[in-house]
Amino acid sequence: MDVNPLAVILVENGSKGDRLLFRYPYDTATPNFAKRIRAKQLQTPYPQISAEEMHKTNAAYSSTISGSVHSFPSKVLSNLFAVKSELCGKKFEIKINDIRFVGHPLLVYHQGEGKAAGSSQESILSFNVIFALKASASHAVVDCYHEVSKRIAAALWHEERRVAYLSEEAKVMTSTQDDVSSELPDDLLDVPYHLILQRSQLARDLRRVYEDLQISGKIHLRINRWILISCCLPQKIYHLLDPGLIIEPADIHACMEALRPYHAILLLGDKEKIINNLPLDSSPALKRLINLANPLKSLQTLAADADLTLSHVFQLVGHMLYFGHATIIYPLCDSNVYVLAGSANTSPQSKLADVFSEMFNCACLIQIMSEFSVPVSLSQRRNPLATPEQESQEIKIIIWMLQHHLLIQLHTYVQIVVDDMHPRSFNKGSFRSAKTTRVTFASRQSTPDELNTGSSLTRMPSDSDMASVISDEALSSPPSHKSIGSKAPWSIENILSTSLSNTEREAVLQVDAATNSEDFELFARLCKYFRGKHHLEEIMYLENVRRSNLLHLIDKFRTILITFEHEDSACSVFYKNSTTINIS
Amino acid sequence: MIKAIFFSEFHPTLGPKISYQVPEDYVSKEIFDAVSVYIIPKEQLDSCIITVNVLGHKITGYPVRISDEKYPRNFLIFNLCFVCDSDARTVQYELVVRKLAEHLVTLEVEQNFLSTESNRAKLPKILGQILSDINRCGLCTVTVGTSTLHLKVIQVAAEPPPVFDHHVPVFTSEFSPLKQDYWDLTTKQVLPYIDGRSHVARVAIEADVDIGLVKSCIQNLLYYGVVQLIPIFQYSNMYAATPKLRELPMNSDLNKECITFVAKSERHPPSFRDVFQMYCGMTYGTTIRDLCLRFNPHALRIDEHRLVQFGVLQGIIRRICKYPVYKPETQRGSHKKQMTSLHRLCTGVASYDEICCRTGLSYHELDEKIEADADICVLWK
Repeated sequence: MDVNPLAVILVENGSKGDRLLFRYPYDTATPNFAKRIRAKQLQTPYPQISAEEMHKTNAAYSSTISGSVHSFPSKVLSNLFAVKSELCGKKFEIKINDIRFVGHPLLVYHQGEGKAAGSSQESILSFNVIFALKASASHAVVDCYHEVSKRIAAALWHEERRVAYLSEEAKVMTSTQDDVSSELPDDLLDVPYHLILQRSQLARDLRRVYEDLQISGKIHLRINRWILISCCLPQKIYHLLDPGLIIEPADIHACMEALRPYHAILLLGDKEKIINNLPLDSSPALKRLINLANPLKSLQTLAADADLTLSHVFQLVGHMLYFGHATIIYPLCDSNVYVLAGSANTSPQSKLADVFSEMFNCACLIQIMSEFSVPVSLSQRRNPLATPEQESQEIKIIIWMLQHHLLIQLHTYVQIVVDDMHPRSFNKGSFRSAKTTRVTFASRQSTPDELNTGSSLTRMPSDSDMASVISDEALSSPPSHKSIGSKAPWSIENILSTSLSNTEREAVLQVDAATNSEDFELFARLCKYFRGKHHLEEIMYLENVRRSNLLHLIDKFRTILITFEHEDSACSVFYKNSTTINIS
Repeated sequence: MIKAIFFSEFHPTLGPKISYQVPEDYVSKEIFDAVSVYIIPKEQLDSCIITVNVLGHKITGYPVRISDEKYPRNFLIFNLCFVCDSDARTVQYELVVRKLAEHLVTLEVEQNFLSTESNRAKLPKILGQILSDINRCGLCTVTVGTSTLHLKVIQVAAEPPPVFDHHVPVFTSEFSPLKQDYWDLTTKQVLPYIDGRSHVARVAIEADVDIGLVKSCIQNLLYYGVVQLIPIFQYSNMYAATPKLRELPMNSDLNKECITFVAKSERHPPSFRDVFQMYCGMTYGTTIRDLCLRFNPHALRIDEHRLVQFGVLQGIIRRICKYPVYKPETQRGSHKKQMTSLHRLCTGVASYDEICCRTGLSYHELDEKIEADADICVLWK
């Protein structure tokens, strides 16, 4: 993982020129030359080059700067990062050999803007908070660090203009540096940073930023006890949750794109613990949501329960995903089919196995995992003789395994595929007769009552979630269906022609079930979902149909419909490494 | 894509400046002034590859300093920089920039190339040639006087994954095995045996090359994207569809490619419906043998081996591997059972393929042994 920062550096550009105010971590021992050479040799990824040869190349291309941040003298760093005013207010990125520096320099006073009256002679023109990273860190990681740097810079900028905080802190830092350097020889220049840490609040804050990023990936602090900085590195957080899981912010955005009101959130930790770890002034809506969160509840119900709009719930969920508090699942129900995830760690010596046997005493993780080697639905797993305790234990085990990304849910998708290689010899007579029968049947009214009795899974849209486009769709679709039945028969044909190609339409008419008006109407209504993009649960949700009706329909039209199973794209983001290890 | 190349130096009286640039004025004077501190940096940063990404330009340079009393300030500092767009990748140019800079140092030390005005005038032409040649084909040969410099851009790819005995290397579609003079001797010996069916251990035996060498050859080929690794094809294998399967009916290019790839004969391609139905049939618990019995791919003009190969290469399907795990029941028997060599392999990390390759057992032999052993639990994932 190249997520960890190598250093954090604060540089000012003042009326007296550039100056490095603080760097952390500082090297207490002066690095000697031999150490540098050794570090250099270890860096090359090609061990087959002989040591002798390498020494030659090193000598030829040697520079005073080797691959460690410590080897950069403070003067060089301050010269690099005290940028010209043209570069201020923008992302600043520079790579030197194997180290990438990223920051967001800011001008304290804009051009033309007069300095505050009565300011002292020594004033800060611009400053820069820089993070040093390994050059191999990905673009997304660099962008996250830029964001952190930008936030700190903005807070400092505000505090500087409000109460000249940065100037005060800078004065403490420079005076400490001057005190020490007048007493000590040049080669012990790192000593002042230790003293600065004791004297300056800002230096301690920067140390905390560095350490928090290193340890937890979450930053939560107030600059000058006033401006809140709260952000995180999702890559680091997910890495801590599950080493080997690589989640970039882009993945979370992809998940948010695929998020639907029928999804549910599954908290990754203890409810109390998550709430206690939230900052004191966090949104009460978030706390309410966490309190009410339940793997059985869809976001839609959750929104109704928490008395929030659906779009607000989506935003909160996005936040929780970003901070690694929760993951996305389809609400637990009997028809859910689960299987062992390809990314699951199956070693019996793994830490997870120990934790598992501790949590659910006498249960063996490997045994349970082997039971999920073939896809099983929850109803299949249910033992009719089990006591209620055993049943709840079983559900707890499944929830635990979902939390640890050991299980993945399979969904069934439907695709309409017509044999276009060999178009069936159309019997014109039968085609026409099919058409006429359909017209006569289509004039019959469908029974809307049957459709309104939602199955246990589809949740009736309630008034509180009008914000969602999808729920709007769900609300509006039953009336449109009614109009199909009562209106002129060509409306079915219309629907068919908009969502199907000519060959497909002809093939549909060839199917025996097309002569039955009810089946045919249902097919016409649902055919837009038979493109492999919607799973059965989604179709049920969107069109308010029963699972059994849907399955019957698919069965009746099985000559042109093909089903296949795979995971939901919203949830599969969190199993990312499953696709990469498929060769072994 | 390199947008521009410029040669900048520290002028004894004017300070840092761009002396030559192709195309001219791509990097304006204002931008150069803002970044000049990174182009002509402090002494400590000489001979470092510095890439600075600001103001919409990504500039990669390698500042060099030649100390000699003959220069006005006793030294000459110059930097030849490549300029790219700010979102472009520039790692691959770093070595080229360095090589170029070092070549210029040699030219200067030996022939005073940079300090004689008539020679310097050749620089814009050279820069222009480098710019167009590297952008066109990634290669460039520069001739200055009697010396020749070869430059080549090597794309920096991620470290290739480790190659195991049971992996099967298969050529990616773009590669033509005919152009073989490009590779080293061992690779040339190995290449003819890569047929998309033999696993690494078998390739090693057939090519009569040490298996370690074969693995490093294949790893090298992987790095260049010439081969991909897939699992061994067996009729007992199971595969499962991935979310990418839904793209197959939508994407007409992929669709056509798939049909021609899996066809038994070119003249009678199979119907898409049959191909798709076979892919959809691949799921947990269904082996390729079951699928063949159900669909009879021969009659459908589908080559089931190529079907699986295409699916795995395109990521439409993924292999579901079988992992035996040794899990002794310690509670009941007080005496500790002897752990066999097979038990030691059943760690939950090694798949059937790997164990078969290690022990030399066939799939069925191994399966029988494991079925008979009550202490071994089998996982599919």
